[in-house]
Amino acid sequence: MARVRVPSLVVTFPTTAAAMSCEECCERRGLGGRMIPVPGEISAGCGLAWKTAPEAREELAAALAADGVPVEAMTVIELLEFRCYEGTVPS
Amino acid sequence: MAETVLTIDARGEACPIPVVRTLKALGALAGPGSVETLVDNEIAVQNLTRMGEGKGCTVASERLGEKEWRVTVTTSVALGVSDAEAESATCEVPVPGAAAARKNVVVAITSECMGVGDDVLGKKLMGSFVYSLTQLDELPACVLLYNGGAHLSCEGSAALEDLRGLAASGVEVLTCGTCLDHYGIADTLAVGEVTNMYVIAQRLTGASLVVRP
Repeated sequence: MARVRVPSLVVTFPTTAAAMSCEECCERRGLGGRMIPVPGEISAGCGLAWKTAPEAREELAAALAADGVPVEAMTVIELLEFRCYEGTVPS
Repeated sequence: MAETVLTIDARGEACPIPVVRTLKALGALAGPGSVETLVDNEIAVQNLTRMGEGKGCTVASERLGEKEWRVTVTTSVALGVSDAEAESATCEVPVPGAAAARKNVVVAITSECMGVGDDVLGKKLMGSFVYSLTQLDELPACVLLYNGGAHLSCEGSAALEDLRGLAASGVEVLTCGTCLDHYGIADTLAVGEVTNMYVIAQRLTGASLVVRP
């Protein structure tokens, strides 16, 4: 399995509690994504961010707004992801 | 009375040997004097300079050839240098290739939580830590999961996706069998292999670096 850089939408929040609210919001609504530490390319600070596909931006923004989850920024950056070589499958 | 000068040929010797030998020689002077150390790399020059200045000595270095330097450490007083101090000298300046030599990094995860305080936050932090492992330039050789950490490699764990990626990339993911039994989750192990305390002890003692978040 290889690691490749993949464009990802990274959402940052003003508070850790807001990041956790985002996770709850996405799980409840069945939206994809996951919690990650805020990448150094976005901020030198410590914090939690939400990572999802760039094309999910509009739907996610609408969901967070509807649930009153405050967002600091939405940024697309490349992050490493595991990808199978052709003909292999993950264990 | 002429000042004592000791000469050490440390060419071909890996860090921290040049520093150890120079420290011992400084102690052996037992008074004012100099130690001239010949080395064959600039990292050793930096290490010797840092050590000498740390001991309050005057340090001068001179490049004698393409791969030859002379570092002169001069003291105006007797320096007390115990064998233990000399032997414990380390490479303060990273040696090129040292990271490559540190191939056997083992991550020991002993809890579902990272840190002590709020367990909800602790679980988020541990998940973030495991994700961060996937972003490292160089992956660890092994991830050990024991006691509460055993939950991370089982079904329902938020860290499963990352652990699976690590395992598929060649990282050895080992979970303590005793711990899986204790928590009643042995049949939910979803990544890596079950291991025992002998293997855990071997991996920990054989590691070049153990990281425990």
